[in-house]
Amino acid sequence: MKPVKILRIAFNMVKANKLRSWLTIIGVIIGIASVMTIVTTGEFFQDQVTKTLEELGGDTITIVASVPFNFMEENASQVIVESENGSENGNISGGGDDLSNSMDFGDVETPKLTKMDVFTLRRVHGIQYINVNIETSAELEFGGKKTSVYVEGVDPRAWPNITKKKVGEGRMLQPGDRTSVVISNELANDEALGRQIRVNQMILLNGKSYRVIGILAKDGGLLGGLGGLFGSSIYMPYEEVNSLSTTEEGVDEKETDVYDSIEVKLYKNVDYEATIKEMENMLRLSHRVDEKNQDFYVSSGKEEMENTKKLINGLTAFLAFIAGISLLVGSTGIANTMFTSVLEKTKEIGIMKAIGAKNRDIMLIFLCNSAMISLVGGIIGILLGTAAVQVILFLISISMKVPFEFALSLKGTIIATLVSIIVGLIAGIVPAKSAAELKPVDALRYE
Amino acid sequence: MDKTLIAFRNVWKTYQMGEVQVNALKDVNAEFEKGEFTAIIGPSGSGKSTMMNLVGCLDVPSKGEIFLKSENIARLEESDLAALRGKTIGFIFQQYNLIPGMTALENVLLPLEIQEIDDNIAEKRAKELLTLVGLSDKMQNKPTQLSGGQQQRVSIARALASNPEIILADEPTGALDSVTGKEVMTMLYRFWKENGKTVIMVTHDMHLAKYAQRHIELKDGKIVRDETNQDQLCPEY
Ligand SMILES: Nc1ncnc2c1ncn2[C@@H]1O[C@H](COP(=O)(O)OP(=O)(O)OP(=O)(O)O)[C@@H](O)[C@H]1O
Ligand SMILES: [Mg+2]
Repeated sequence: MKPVKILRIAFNMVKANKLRSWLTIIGVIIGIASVMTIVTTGEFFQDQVTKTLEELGGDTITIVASVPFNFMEENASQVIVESENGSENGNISGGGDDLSNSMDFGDVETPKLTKMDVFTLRRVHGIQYINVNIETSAELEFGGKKTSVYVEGVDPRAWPNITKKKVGEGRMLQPGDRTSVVISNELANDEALGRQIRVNQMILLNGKSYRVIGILAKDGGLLGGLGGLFGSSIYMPYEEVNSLSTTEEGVDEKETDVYDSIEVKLYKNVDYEATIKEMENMLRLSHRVDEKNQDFYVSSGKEEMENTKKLINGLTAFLAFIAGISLLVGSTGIANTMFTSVLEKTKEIGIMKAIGAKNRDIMLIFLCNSAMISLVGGIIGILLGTAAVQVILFLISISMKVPFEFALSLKGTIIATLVSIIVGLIAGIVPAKSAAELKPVDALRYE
Repeated sequence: MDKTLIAFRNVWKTYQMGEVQVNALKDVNAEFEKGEFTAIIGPSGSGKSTMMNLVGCLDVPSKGEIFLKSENIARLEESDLAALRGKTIGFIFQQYNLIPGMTALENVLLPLEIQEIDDNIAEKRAKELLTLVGLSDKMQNKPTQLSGGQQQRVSIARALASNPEIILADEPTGALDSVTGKEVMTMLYRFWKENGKTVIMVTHDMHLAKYAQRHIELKDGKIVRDETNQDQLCPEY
């Protein structure tokens, strides 16, 4: 039989039972739309998180000083040895009698990162830029009004190359800058100051005067949505932080050449993991520690990013699996409908066979029938899924304050389409086969 | 040339009904020649329909062999058998067996579509046949919009559509009143007479059997009488 004729007969079968066909189609629609929605939403979240983590410096590695993890379990003698080590190096801080520094560890030296560590890291091959960070807070005075700001001392030679922040007006810090600062967009527009800070205007920090040479661009994406977690910030050459005289109680004066953290950016094509290992090893050597009593912590944003991605991936896969079940239910619906029509059409199958139809013809008619149902279900499901995805993403972007963008997961669409075709075929094949293999006499006798 | 079109050689047909076996046909031997008009008669349950189904390749014998155009039908593939059936045999059933969702025209077109006959030729032929059986004005009617006699005439047109050598009619007038029955019978007779087709017809009605050349009488699955009809009727038409 010619394909056109088979299609026409199959189409008439679908049409002859409109209600049943539509009910079956609805099952397929729901299955496909939910798979698409979940896969696309999952991919959206993954994108957002990746973007955000990258903005936070996803590919930079941060080193901070930290008390050894197993410090509490270490026995007392070890503690003493370590403190002796410290004093031998002449590195001991004056913090012994400073309450805020000594905490509960008695006379144990507080771990810290110093210029020495920067020298150590310079010898690691894969490293392109090394930035040092010193954080503090200061009182800003502008146009007669005062506000408290977060100050970050950075290395003007490396920071512009490492940070994900972009300058909106003016310029970034440059090597050689001393009393120049870059300020955040939030600070420039801080309402507490009464008027906007502009590029090239002077501000007072703890009474010392600095020139604003750049204003950062507003953060986009998820971060911007957080409303500027680090809202009113000032970035200045790190040497300058030490000369900010402390005014407030509780804010300790920063030691020269001691850093709160060191940020490192690797060359593009180096082995990420191996370089991190090398860094850790060299730092351990220079600190004379081993893995157990290591007094620094290397955190690579990439690792966290990968972990988060994996987590979202897993979650998406899990949800897609659940959505897949609804697709499976939809396909059972097709199979059920097909079996019902085979039963209903038994006599007609007998008649068609009596007048010369081959098993193949009968089989194709029923397969086309289920293919049509799953195709219509698939198309409407994809359209509906696309619409549902946009609505969901729109709501998400409103609640996360990120700009809404049309998004459609190619993967999700392809999966949904393929699944709908496969589902239609599998659900159709068994009933179609049983229809085709009916013996003509038996089929004819069927009432 | 061999005139034998259909041959039954020691054919048995056994139905399994749970524990009991029913022998619907017991060692039947028969030959049907080209151009013959045969009536199969006999009491209910004697195996007439069983025999027809075997002739029409709708079923296979439990034992023995059946030759159709000197082909052993047991040796044929399903698709070849279907093709052979479509080309050589036209069925007329007691219950008409038209496809309810299709119009009269579509029903007559169906065997031609199955055989992939060119659409224009097929349509022309189907319309001719429907006109011939007197239904030129009912072509677009569905079976439910036709009387029993009209439906049977559609099914005759369908049986003739692919110009088969053999027409098998299992009680073609069984569901019709005597007047319409006679009309249908006349039509069948005419096609036999004018086209030289081989017709095998099952009937209860001894009066209708008189139109046939040959009578085969079945009883309990056996042929008890096989003779030429001495006084074959010839209806006026
Ligand atoms: N599918 C079947 N399963 C079991 N037994 C069957 C089947 N078909 C027919 N029979 C039995 O085979 C025998 C012959 O049946 P068949 O239908 O050939 O009779 P028939 O001569 O056509 O009768 P009728 O004149 O009533 O149509 C009967 O005893 C019947 O019960
Ligand atoms: Mg019968």
